[in-house]
Amino acid sequence: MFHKTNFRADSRTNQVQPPSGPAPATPISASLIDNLVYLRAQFGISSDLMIREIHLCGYPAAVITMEGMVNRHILADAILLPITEIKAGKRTPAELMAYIRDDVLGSGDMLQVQTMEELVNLVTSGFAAIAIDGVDFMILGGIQGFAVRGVSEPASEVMIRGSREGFTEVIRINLSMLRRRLKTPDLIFEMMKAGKTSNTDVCLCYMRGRVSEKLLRSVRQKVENLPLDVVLDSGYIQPFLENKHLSIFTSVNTTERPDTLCGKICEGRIGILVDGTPFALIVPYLFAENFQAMDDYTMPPYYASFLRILKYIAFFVSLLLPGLYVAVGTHHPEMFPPVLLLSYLNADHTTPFPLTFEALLIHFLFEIMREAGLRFPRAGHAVSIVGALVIGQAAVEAGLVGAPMVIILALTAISSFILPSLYAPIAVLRFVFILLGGALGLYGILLGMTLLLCSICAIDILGIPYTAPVTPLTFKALKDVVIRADWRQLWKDKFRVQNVKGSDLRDDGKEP
Amino acid sequence: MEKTVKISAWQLMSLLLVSRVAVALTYTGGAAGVAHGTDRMASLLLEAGLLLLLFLPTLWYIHAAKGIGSLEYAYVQFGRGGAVVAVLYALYCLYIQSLDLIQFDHFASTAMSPDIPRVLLCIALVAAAFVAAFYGLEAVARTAAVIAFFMVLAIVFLGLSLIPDMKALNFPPLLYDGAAPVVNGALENLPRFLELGVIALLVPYVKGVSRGYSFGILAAAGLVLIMQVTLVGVLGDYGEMVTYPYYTAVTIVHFSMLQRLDILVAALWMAGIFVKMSFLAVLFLGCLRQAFGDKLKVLYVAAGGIAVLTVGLLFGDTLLAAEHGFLWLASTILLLLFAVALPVVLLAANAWRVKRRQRKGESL
Amino acid sequence: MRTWFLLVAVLLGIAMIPSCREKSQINNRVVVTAVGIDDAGEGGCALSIQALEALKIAGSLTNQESNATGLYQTQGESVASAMKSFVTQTGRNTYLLQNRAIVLSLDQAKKQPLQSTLDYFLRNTESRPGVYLAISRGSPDEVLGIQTSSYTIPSEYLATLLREGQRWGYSAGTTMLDAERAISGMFDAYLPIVRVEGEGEDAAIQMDGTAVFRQGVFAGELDAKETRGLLFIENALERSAFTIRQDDGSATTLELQSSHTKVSVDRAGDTAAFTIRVTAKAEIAEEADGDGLKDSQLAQINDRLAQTIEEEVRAAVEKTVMEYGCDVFGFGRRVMQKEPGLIRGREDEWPEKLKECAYHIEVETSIRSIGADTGADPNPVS
Repeated sequence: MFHKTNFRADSRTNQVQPPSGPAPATPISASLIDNLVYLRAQFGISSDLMIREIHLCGYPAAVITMEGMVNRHILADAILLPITEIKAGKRTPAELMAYIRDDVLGSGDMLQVQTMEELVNLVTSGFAAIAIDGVDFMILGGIQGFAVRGVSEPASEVMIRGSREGFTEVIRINLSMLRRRLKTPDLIFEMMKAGKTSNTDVCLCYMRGRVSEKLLRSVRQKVENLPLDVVLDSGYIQPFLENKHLSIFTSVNTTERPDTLCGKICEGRIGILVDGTPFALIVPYLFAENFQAMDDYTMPPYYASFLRILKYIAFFVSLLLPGLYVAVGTHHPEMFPPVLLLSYLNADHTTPFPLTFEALLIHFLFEIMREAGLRFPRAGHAVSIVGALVIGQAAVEAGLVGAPMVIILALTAISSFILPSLYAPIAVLRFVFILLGGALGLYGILLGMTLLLCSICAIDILGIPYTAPVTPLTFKALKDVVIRADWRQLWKDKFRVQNVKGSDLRDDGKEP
Repeated sequence: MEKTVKISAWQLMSLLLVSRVAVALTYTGGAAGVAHGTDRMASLLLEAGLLLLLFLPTLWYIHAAKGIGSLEYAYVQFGRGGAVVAVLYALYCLYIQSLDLIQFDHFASTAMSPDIPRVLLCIALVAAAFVAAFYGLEAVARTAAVIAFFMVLAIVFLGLSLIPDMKALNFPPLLYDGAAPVVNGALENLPRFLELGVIALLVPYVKGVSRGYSFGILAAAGLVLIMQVTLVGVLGDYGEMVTYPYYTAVTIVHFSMLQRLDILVAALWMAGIFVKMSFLAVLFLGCLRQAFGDKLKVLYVAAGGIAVLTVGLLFGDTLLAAEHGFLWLASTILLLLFAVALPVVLLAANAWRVKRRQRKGESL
Repeated sequence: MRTWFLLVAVLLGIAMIPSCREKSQINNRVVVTAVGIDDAGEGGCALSIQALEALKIAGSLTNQESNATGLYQTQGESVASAMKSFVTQTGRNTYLLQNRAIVLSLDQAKKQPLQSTLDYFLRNTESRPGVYLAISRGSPDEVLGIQTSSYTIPSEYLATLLREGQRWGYSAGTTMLDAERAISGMFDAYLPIVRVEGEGEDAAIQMDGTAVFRQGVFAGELDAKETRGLLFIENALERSAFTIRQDDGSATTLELQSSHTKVSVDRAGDTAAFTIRVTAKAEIAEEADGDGLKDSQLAQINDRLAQTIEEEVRAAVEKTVMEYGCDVFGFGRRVMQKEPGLIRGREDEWPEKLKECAYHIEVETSIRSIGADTGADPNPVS
């Protein structure tokens, strides 16, 4: 009677067809010329393919790199110099290659490939390949030297007390940051490729023994079966991991912080790092986590609890305050005490627009200015001055908008900045609630809130309820939801995300 | 991965609590011959007892059917004839929703400020409830848990805020006119809890149906008792003269600079009605999907919503006039049919089938 | 894609709803802050409507001298018809949800039962149960027209006066809810009487006793002392001032700190006997001579205070129950609660039967002397 009721979800993300099977691999030829011809054909007129043809002990050989991807000094010192100084002997080409691999090369990252596809993949990742005529394999050394951004403080998640390190675009550096923090062999990095053309490195990070095997299998399958041609950011993968593509709240979130990701991994979640982006994905991500921050766990519990409650209040203020003001002003002015009613009447009398339209207009203007400030950071100060003058002063004095509306806007805007991960849904829903408040008053707002709550409750992330642990209620887990209990209590409960009530992935022996 | 739908006993309790309180908020004290004032408190307790008693056939069914829902059981017993049972259940759900909409429409036009077009409100409510049908039983149950929490909080808060305005003199003596009004009041209100008729449907989808139901009835009785104490303490006998006494009582609540917090009651009630209607919409959709398949689910939902709106808006006044007459009789019959007769019939059908099989086996 | 289009269409549809497109309705309505009802003769009534005026408010909220309201007059055969003719006069409908007070003239109160006069407000969904009711000795528009620098809305001033007057024992603070309870037949209503003293800028509202009603019909008035006695029994008194004269003629002013009254009912044959126990605590606010008080003097003051309270309570009972036949204290309801057999089936007889009941009044007072040590024992004396 009640099977899965995802409305239209079947037509999209949950029934993605896996690729029709891997294409047949091209083996490396024993003929150097054939290999080089193949490579030049593959890369066409691309100018960054560097092939240095040399002779090693009398055999034709070549060193293959991509310009800009390798460190030239290490290439010269660790690869070219040692191999060109090999004294000629009575070795066959294969023996020479083995000698070079085992006794000559100084690179710590040595690989041997037998297919052209593997060769291309590694050469474009910053490896230098050595090919010898008469050998049907090549050896590669990892001597990456491409330009990378240094480890810096994450721009999107600023903490007062906590690490100042953020992820970078290089996946290997990011992995090292995680490994530094969790020095345990149970921290597993599972490397995969995503994107048929881009072959982007993607890494699943999880703690063996803590992660749910069912969850892991599901995530692995989804990443393996991605139909994408190119993956340039974690955001490309994100929709394929979510159940409901129409949901306004995301159940797979991102983080730039290695300490945050480590914390999440230790709770049984899976982190997904994507090469080329500093934003790692966290699966699953519950609604309550939007109100949690790394700083909460470094501050005294009373203050952390205070901040949490502040965030919840800020969420409702930023989402509902304009709609509530419009609703009360338009349909329920009896709720105003007399003095406040006088202020409202004064403002209403002097402005020409209906309250709903005024609210929509002013919030729309605010969003325009916010976007302008973001896209033109140098003009950010100018934008804020214009905004303050235009909205704050001139519009009120000209009688276009009322002073109370400007105050409402200011409160709403400030409140929404407290929750950056929820800014997008709040910004959109705010307009919906303004319309509902203007049309149906408080009843419309409450109906909208209830429907929104219902839609949030309907979200399941791979079997785990999005609204857990609030509903279904896991009482013990509430210690870290609205308040943040002291560490002396928190450490006792080994929270695992798959073991919340209502989860289909429970592995603690209890019924879902 | 295919997800099994399962809600907890507490979620079922929340669903029933919200449904029950949503009905109680529309209680009108003026009906003749039934309990009011202090007598109604006794009537509430009697009503809770009767509801638990009426649950016994369903309880028997739950134990005998070993976890199979009544709809699935009907298919097992009657084959394709089970579709008839599915349609009957669907119509039953629409009937309850229509009654709720009639009450809501009446409330919107008499008690609330009529600035907002009530037809629009009704359409918004029904549309929202039927859209929520697509979210599924679990989503509605989780929503009910949150709404129930706030409902309890609000009712307790309003009760505490009104304590200074309550007077001992406002409470008429218990059983002043004898026990008849208490009994009449309990019987009068009994068919307003029609959800009992669908409990058997939920057996495979709830962990601990009996527990959820029992706690739901008792919790609802407790909360409605608080509401009754509040309205009698504040209004006294005047509560019998107004259409929605609880709503009238809370109009005098002040909290800091906010006044007229009856809006809070109306808003919470609307949330409760939404949860109740969406719960029934989920069951309605589930029954029709079981009977006719999945393809036309949007059509089922649209048709259901239109049917409820048509009955509620076009015939609402006529049906409301018969609230204590024909409508009460119809609701009582339907309640007994679905809560008592249907489980018994299903079990009897099963017993007959088993006997026939045994006889066939013996004759062979 | 289709779902997104549907969502956008729904949102646009919501935006087309009139309340989203049109200017706020509140500015199209007259926000009533107080209503006065007077007898217009020949079966009609005259309404004085105090309403907020947006033009007066606009641009000057901080100007405390300005009165944000205007007073309108209208007439009709009934309150409802007068309200409707007001709408045709102003072109705007009334908005009663911010109404604070309803003032009836004494003539109107005597002419029509309360339930008839207030029926419009009882039925109107916008009318709030917390609205204060009062009776004016003169015309209601004199009361509603009083302006004060402390309040931008004059009806706030009136409502505050009535509320504080009840706390201090000068007037009853009756609200619409009290009247509604009385109209439902539980007990009888009483309303404060106010009058305007002085003229022009010096005009002020004074409390002038209480009007009592029997089943909604005006029965009579109580003076200031009887009013205080009524408030004692109703447990509505929080503070009040008593001036006690001693044998030597010196006056001492006492301030009531708390009072609690318990009314108990006992069966007395075919009727009931009521015991009214008043417990009051007072402090010496001012001693005229300033010489300090000896123990014996304190004891005398205490006795006189108890005596004064007893007299006031007795006067209230005698006037309301015995003389006017009104059950404003809910004595009938108390009999119903305690001895239902006495009243069952004979509810209509009881207003008269109350006159036959016995009323015992017991008062217990204690005085505390604070401030400068004048040599008197500071411990409470009872």
